[in-house]
Amino acid sequence: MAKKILAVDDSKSMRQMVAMTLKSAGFDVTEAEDGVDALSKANSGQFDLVLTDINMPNMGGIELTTKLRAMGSYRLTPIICLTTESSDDMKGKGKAAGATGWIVKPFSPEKLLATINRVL
Amino acid sequence: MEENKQILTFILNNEIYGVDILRIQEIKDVEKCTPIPNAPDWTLGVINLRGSVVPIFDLRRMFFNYASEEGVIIVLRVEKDGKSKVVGIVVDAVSNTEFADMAALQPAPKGDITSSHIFVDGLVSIEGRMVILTDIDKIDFFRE
Amino acid sequence: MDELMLVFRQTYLEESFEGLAAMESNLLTLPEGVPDTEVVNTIFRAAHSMKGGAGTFGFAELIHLTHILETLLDEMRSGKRNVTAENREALLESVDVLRVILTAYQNAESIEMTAVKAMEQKLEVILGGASHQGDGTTTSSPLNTPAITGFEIHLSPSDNYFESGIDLLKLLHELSRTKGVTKTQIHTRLNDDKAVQVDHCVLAFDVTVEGTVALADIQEVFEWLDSDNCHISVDPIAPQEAPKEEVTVSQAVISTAAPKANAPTTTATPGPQQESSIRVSIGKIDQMVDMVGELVIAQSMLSRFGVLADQLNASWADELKEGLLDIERHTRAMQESVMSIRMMPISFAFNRMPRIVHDVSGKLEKDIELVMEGENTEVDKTVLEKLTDPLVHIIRNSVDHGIEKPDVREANGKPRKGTVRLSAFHAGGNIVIQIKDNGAGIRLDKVKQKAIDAGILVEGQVITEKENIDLIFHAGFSTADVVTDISGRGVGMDVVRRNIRELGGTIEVQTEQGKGSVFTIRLPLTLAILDGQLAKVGDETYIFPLASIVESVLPAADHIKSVKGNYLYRLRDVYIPIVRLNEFFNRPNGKTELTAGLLVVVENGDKRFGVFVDTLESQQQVVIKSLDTNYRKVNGISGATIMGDGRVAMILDLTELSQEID
Repeated sequence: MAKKILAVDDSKSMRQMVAMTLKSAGFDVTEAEDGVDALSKANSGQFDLVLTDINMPNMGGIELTTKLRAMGSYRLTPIICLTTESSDDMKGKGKAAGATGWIVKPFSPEKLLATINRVL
Repeated sequence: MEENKQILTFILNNEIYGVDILRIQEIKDVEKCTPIPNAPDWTLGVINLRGSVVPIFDLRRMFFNYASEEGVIIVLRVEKDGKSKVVGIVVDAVSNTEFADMAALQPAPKGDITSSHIFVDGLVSIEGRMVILTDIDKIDFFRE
Repeated sequence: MDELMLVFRQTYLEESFEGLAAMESNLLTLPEGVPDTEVVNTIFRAAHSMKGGAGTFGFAELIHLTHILETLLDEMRSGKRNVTAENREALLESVDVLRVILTAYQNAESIEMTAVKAMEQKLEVILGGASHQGDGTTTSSPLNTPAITGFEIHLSPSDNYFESGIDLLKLLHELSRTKGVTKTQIHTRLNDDKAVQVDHCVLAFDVTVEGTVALADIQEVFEWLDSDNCHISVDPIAPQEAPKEEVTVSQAVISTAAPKANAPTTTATPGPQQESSIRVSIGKIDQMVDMVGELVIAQSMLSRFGVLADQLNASWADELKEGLLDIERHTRAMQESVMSIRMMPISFAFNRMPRIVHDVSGKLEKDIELVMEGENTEVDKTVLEKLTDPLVHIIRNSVDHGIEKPDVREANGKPRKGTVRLSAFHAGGNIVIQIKDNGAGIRLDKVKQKAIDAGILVEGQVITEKENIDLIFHAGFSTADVVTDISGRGVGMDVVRRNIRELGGTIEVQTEQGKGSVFTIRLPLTLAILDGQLAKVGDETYIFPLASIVESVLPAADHIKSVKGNYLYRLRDVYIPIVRLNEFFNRPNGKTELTAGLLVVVENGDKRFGVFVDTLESQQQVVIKSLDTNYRKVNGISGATIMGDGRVAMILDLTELSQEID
């Protein structure tokens, strides 16, 4: 069974890139366009990994992380934040909310796969 | 490459045809259709399939130039310009579900005498009988 | 460049154009002073996404500009900088510059960097003017002394390490592949002072890395670990005795961030008095609309049994009928509330207008105030999408042709500033949108002369005032003496009217010389349900939109006139063309003798014609289902519906039928 990944980003191009990269590596990818969308998708299926952007309308990545962690089924699921904020502030917020780690944009497909490899 | 593909076989013009079972939604008795204005004669019309409006096409009129009151509707999914549509095709009878050995698929003979060759994928032998595998997406149901 | 990257780039361009539009409309509504966090946030996000993608997808020319833009907006949203007329103009200007760059990328043209550089400088000047906060973060430790030949790393996972989800062994593997690493040695040991428990990590690792490795690269491998889940120390190995220095990765970050961490969560939780909302995909809603449609059908099927029970004189007839009425009432209520989900505030269309008025009036040296009312009026999503272009066109027209220049206005005793009022409201089951200006009004004599010049009218022809006004909707008509680059862009009012008709709506104009004009658009509340009139042709049922039916008449033989095979019917004093459904649809059904059937007189736009059918049946609300979903568009048919008996019936497209008679 391919591992299931939920890729959350309000930017379609970024989502597409992430999704295609992961799909070509054999992962089963579901896309969500913001935190709210992600939460409802996370609710209707169990993912092995959540990759989320931070800055999104409706519900951002930090809030999404907090909410996922509060759900029993996502207490231990790896959550990785995709962020352009190279400032340590955002990483810290992500961590505090329960994120497993982060990837700083821009990143290459190789970097994405290498980083995901840490948790899958 | 898939080895064994499960197919639904059906009878059309006294020959056995097969279609990928994953495309099939259901099989129904022929029912009265609501005609579609200005449609070709092989477009019987539309039916209400649990709330969806589904067009019905008679493959016998479309390719073999005969009509019959008998027959069954196979409701299946076709891909058209990247979109999925649900349509019904009318055939003489539905036969069976079988496994087709795709490795043994033979190309359809060139210059097939019937016009149906446009949707033939190839020939495969199942238990000594020749089954004509179809690529349903190749049929242009929606032309005017 | 590989094909996939091209696809991503295209998507990036599309969403960036959308982002620019969002930035623009929000900037225009952004008041000066202390920034409105919500609005600035939306603008920031658009800039932020553009910057994020610019690097990833190789749009180098965008990176610096979007970065400065982001910094400026970040200062605004965090309250460090107020909105001023100056920086708002600069932001709007950079939207324009970005649009030029993106368009150049789109068309594979070269990019004019001088404009970009100038814009960057302008923004930098603005940025420099503010007090710069120290950015707080310190860059990587200055530990990189060239003498280092490797590192000793001690990893001591805490009891709950497994909860972090990070695979330590994979990190070690990654470490061994880090640039410059020539050798890694891993010693695994039991963490003696820990009690063995199944979900606790009781192992610890001592790793020796050899090679010329940068500390930052090592840190990056372990960047996700923090003191909560794993104690880690990285000690450089120097050839001579080097002072031991411990680096606790990320720990500093956690401690500074911790007090702030709660802030966004608290603000994001809606207060009790606030209306909370969820986002639902349109697909789910349409599915619901469909299901309710089914329910309506099932309900109408059931209701027939009430009549049947009456005919049977059944003792339970009254109870059944009461129950059926209940079901009907609830179904209707449910249908209404489901339909309301598809509704969106018209502000989505209105929001584009301020920029248009701002730009166009600037170009024409006019002073115009745009007043918008009823932005929260809700319309169906599809209506909304198709409404925007017509609105833009009418607004442009009002600014261009309607409102006079300030001097002219003053000379006519009007205030120098003109007003365009855009309002939306509900009236009698319709959405009404009005565009009202206090400009010069439409010069009807000019319109008439123009029509004569264009051969639409004959010299001396007498027309009513309404007909005179309606001439502006004639194809290819332009009222301006000179076709300006504002309004004369190919689309005329005829296109506006066609778009509105396609939505089942109407448009009318009132004008008063010297006082101004009012454009009134009326649209149906929703597109998914139609009040229908059922008609029979042979054994086939067709449905007319009830609103289009003027009357139905039993044709009298002496009122029928045949001209070259086309039939006309004299209705009181005018002849109207007749469309025979069975001929139009090529169906061998129904009556052929006109006097044996019924003529349904319909009005579509300004065309009035008779549709010949056998008989009329009941009127009922029908749920419109698209034929394209599983088939294709059919000429003369706007859709299908499922009747009470489960059969499908076709809904007539009167616009297409009317084209037949031209």
